[in-house]
Amino acid sequence: MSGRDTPIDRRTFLQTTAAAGATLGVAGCLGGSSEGNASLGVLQPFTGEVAWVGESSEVAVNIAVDEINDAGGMNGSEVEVITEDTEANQQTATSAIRKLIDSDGVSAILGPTSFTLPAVMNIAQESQVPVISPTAGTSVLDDKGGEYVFRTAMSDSLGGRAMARIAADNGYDDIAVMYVDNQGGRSFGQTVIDGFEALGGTVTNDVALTPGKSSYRSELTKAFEGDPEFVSLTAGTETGQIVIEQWDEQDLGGVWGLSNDMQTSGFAEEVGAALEGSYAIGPLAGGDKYDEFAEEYESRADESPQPFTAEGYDATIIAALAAQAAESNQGSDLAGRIIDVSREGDTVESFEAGADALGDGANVNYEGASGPVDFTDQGNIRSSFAVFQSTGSAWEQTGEISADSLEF
Amino acid sequence: MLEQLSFVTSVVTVAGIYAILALGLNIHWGETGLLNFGHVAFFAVGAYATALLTIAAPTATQAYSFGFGLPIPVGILGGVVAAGMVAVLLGVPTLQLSEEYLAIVSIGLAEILRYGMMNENWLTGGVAGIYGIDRPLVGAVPGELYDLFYLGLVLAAVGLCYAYSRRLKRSPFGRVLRSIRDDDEAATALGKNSFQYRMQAFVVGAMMAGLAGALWAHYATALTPTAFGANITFLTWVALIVGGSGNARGAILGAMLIISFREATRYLPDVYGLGDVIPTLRLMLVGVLVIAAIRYRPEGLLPERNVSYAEYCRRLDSGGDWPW
Repeated sequence: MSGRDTPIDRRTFLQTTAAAGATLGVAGCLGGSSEGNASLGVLQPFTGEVAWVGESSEVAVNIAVDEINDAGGMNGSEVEVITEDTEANQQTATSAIRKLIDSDGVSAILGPTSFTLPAVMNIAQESQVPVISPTAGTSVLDDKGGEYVFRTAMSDSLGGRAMARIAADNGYDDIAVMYVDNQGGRSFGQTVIDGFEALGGTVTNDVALTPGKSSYRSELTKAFEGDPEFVSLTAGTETGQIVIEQWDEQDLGGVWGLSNDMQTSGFAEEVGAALEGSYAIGPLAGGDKYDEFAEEYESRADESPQPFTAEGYDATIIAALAAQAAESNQGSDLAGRIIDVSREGDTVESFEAGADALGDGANVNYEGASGPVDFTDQGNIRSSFAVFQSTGSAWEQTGEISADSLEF
Repeated sequence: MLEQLSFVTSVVTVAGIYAILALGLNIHWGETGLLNFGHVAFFAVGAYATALLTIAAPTATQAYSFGFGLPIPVGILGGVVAAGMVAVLLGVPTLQLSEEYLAIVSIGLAEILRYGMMNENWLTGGVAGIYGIDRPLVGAVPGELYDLFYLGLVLAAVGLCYAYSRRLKRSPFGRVLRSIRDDDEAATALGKNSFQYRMQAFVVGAMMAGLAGALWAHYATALTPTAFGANITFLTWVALIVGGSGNARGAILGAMLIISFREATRYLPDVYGLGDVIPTLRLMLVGVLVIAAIRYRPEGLLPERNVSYAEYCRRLDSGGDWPW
């Protein structure tokens, strides 16, 4: 068979093979890991709904890496940051983490979010490369990890328990729970329910909110059916503001307990008097270390630090200190020292101080921008919370919930 | 070198799974003209069905309430059958109507299923998902070769679906499908029950997507609803349009090209130092590729070959191999 009868003519064949060849060629030639340098991978969503997570955590990681390189690098090697996009999608994240591990040979991976971490956990485990996520709060990870999977983000279940604790300690018996319908919102909401019931209270109703709607009146009606005295709300600031304004219009009564997303000065000011007397949980006021980080972040990004950025900075420093402690930039070696450098030994607040102390043969306990950063054996952090109440225009800290009081 | 090979293995595995999806969509759109915008629904059903059939019974702390611990081949078969059953349910009301109805209903079904996955914790584990799905023969194959072994499995599945699609080109069944695609009324006038044929094609294509889903579940070992967004449907469409709809080889080529294109661009930042601009640029480049394909090769890189009936008979008589 030849000429016109040939099913694929020569021109088609050539064009097709050329296209395929070019693609494979690009993949082949551009690969290759750089020798002599140490690298850390940032695996975060840079596109899609949560693109801000990738952009802001890259800034935070770069701040930490610059400090590490100024102090002589990781075991003497200059650290390079390699970023990969997960698109907050499991399939893409799988290829992205393979590329970081297999092709770039990174020492540790910083990221990803709750959306994709579950799908890539076993890859990290099999390849023996530690993953330290500053962003995955999902309570699914509470009893997983500790060997190759760690997180400097606090578990949603801690925030949820802190909320339950606030309601119980302030004498409320009946509460309702509202949460935005995504992974973080659901796992937070569920732990408020479980926690409050464990403390002996009654949850009258729980309502999931679809983010981005313009009216939540029917959801509010449902949530307030049983006349709860306290309503826990987990949502971003935009959804939260609409919910609270419409609650105020309908004069439904009760007070709010707001998740840390809404514990910002801008939110208290914009919502204003409606919020007076309501509660919010938030991080304990960061020490000097946080202020230092925030200043550097602002000078680089022209905005105040986004959520999870201090955690991203700390995750990076911890990875580098663990490498220093293991005297190796191999992921499999440094993974075993991550828990050690977070909690055992002299307190240090920077990579430079930590590296010096480790060089003198001491153990170190890193305390970072996001808090004491002490890992549990499952690779989670313990965390204390501050309790805030609104004065009608600002949040005022009125109490504190210690990490110990959340173990129930 | 071995490390590079391992990355390429994972890319080709994912591309193979997309190729199966594209082959399924090719039977829907390329062969029968069914406008299916909810292909990911069948992918998801296949994945969740095999996960629930093969995973161990849940412990008290897990949200989902089923887990049958059956052997993996049973799970994969179950995933394929479940996807086919969903296709029947979706096909009954929509395939008798004109094609736009299917387009709208299928996109709706995909979204309904995704919200179902997020909310029906007792079945799917909700947004937290399902973890610890077994991989086939994980003890029997040495660890360093496992990814290659799994790639082999995926490629065998691609081969199976390709063989079916190729057979479809020369079978009377396939000819009826194409006649329905080209002129539904003419096919009906010739005494063909158009609804029945469309239904069969719809179910077969959905079963292929179910197979892709089952293979993905055992590859990823964890499932959450974020793996089943509408972007999978559209990436499959892109693969089919660029590769050439109506041509099984085109579907495979399209999937391989799109996925390797997406993964190859991961290496660009290293060269030009554009940092986080690249991820965004990558999606735009995929869009540009589609526009270019439609402008310069509207029938795809490997267009469908139409052969007259006389030519068809002549080739069959001469016993020649059927060349597409």
